[in-house]
Order: sequence, then C-alpha cells, then structure tokens
Amino acid sequence: MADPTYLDEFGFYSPMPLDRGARREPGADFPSGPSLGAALPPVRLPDQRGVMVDVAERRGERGAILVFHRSAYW
Amino acid sequence: MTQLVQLQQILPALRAAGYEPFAVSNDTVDRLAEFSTRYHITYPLLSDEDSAVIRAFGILNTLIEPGEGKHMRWYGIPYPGSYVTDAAGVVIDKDFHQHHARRLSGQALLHRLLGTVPEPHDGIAATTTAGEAVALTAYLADPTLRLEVISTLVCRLEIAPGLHLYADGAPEAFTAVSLEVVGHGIRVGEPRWPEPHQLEMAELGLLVPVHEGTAVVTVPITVTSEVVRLGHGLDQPAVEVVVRLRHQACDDTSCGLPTTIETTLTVPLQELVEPDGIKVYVERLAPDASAANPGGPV
Repeated sequence: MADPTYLDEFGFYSPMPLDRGARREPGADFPSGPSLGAALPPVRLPDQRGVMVDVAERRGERGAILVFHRSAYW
Repeated sequence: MTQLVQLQQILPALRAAGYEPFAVSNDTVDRLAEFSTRYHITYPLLSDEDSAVIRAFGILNTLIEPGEGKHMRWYGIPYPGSYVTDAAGVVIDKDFHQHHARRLSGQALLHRLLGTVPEPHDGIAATTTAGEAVALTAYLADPTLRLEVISTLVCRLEIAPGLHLYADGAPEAFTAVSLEVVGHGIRVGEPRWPEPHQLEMAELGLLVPVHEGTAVVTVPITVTSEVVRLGHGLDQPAVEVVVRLRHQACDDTSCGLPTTIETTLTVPLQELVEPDGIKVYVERLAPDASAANPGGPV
C-alpha cells in the first residue's frame, strides 16, 4: 500500500512530498471567488495559440463554463 | 490534466447544449500549446501568466509563498474550481472543493448542468438484480472511475406494475426505501432521489410519498488513493461497487415484508493523465523503491 509519507490528511497519495507548497490544502472557508448571482469578472487572456480570447464575447448561447486549474504541466 | 481531457471529451455535448468551456491557469502559452497538442484540446486554454485574472477572482492560492516551486510556477496558482455562467455572464453555478484533486467528471458535470442522466450504453458496465417487486440496475455515467474525480453512479429501480415503494417521509410503520453503496477504495456521497408521488390512503386520511414505475437515483462516487496512486499506475484494474436497496413493496391492499436486494458493479479504473511536471517527482521516488528492495537490481 501507499507509503504514508506521501498520504495527506484526506488520504490522497501523490509522489510529491507533503511539505511542498503544491500539497497545502486550504481550510474549509477558503475563498471561492464570485458568488452565485454575481457577474463574472472580465477574463481576457491569450489561449494556447497565443490568440487573445475575451470570454464575454465567446460565451455560448446559454452560457460559459470557466474552469480554474492548477496546471496543465504538473 | 484529467479534467481538461474530460472537458474535451464532452465538448460536443456542451456545445450542443449551448455552453462554451474555457480553462484558466498561470501556465505559459508554450506549456499550454504543448499540452493541447499532446491531448488534442481544441477549446481555449487561457494563460494567466501573471495571475492577474486569478487575483481579480480572489482565488489566488495564498498558502504558497512567492518563489516556491519556481520551475513549476507554483506561486500564482488558483484554488481550483469551476463556474457556470448564463448567456449574460452571471454566475449560475460553481463547484469548488477543499481538496485540490476533487472535481466533477465530464459526465457528472453534464448531469449537474443539464439534469440529464446517460442511458447505459456500449462500453459502460451495468449490472441488474431482479427482486420480486423491483429490479435494480446500476451503472456508472462515465466509462471509468479516476482518482478523486467525482462521477455519477446511476441506480435505476424498475418497480413492478401495481406496486409502490414507500419514500422518505412515509409514516414510521412503513419501511422507506433506501440505498447503500459500499466498496473498497471508493467514496460515495448522498444519493439523490427523484420526487416521490403522493399516494392517497383514504382509510388513513393520509397522503403518503411513494415511488412507482421507474425511479432513477444518482449517487456521487469517486475512487481513492487506497486503489489508485498518482505516479504509480494502477494496483488493480477495477473496483467492485456493491449497491443495496432496502425497501418495502405494497399494492393497494397489502404489503410485503421489508427486504433488501443487492447488485455488484465492476467498474474499471483509469490511469491518470500525468503531464511532464509530475514525472520529476516520480523519478525522485525511484531511489526509495530500490532501498525498499535492497536485493533487487540497482
């Protein structure tokens, strides 16, 4: 079974040691940004091709899904 | 990452429903380009290199100090999560979890967004147990379970014509139907039941909530590090998920005894998508492996 050195308090295993920054989990009341009913803040950023994308201009007919992730690299 | 690949897999369904996905991280454009080429990502992966948008949303991970994990660009990452907006850009749903690895699977996202549950189809394992009053079919909404990714276990109850099962809220004399899901290496959430019908029991002067016909119950489910470990492949190819249905079936005049039926679903596990960055840590673990096995090859 998994080496407990790499298991966090949630029982999650990763080969990254527990004392590394990327394995720190926030408390239960961590900030999760805009509330339900609020307007999404502006998002204007380059995409993977370097093309500037404005989310407000590219939403679908019913809306948008905006995923914030830690990294596509690790 | 798994989540980005799953979003690509449900892209046709998302667009057909009128939603456009976007993913944001502090990755550089170059790294996003490399990832999207390798995993054939066609929707926008946005590069918030200086974390300006992440800060504007108020979700910068402040547990990481500036300069930590410089090569990996740890400083500047967000607390991971997702938002759904309507066509006017108003937030109508959001999904954030205290643990960084937890998030909805592609199919679970569709289920939450559209309220739809996929039918069992080719490539998805399903199991049925037929009891006297009810047949219980269980299947997973996704083809596989992945570490900490929350999928949907679909439990379909086919209740024999003329019979009903008592739902939550029925008088205590009746056994209300309940579902239990257990298995090694899985974690499940609360089952979501459909709205019951109200059955009029004239002699008692009561309206009693019951389920009749077909009732589809959904249960959030994920697999844990007990059976899948990041960086280590799979210890086993599948997990067994046992679904138990406790119920009491009645017709208009009489009731059966409370009983339990059970069905076991074998769900395949999926190895994780492991981008280049994580390999650094897997390689560092290699000396540990040889130390644990000193007689082995060096």
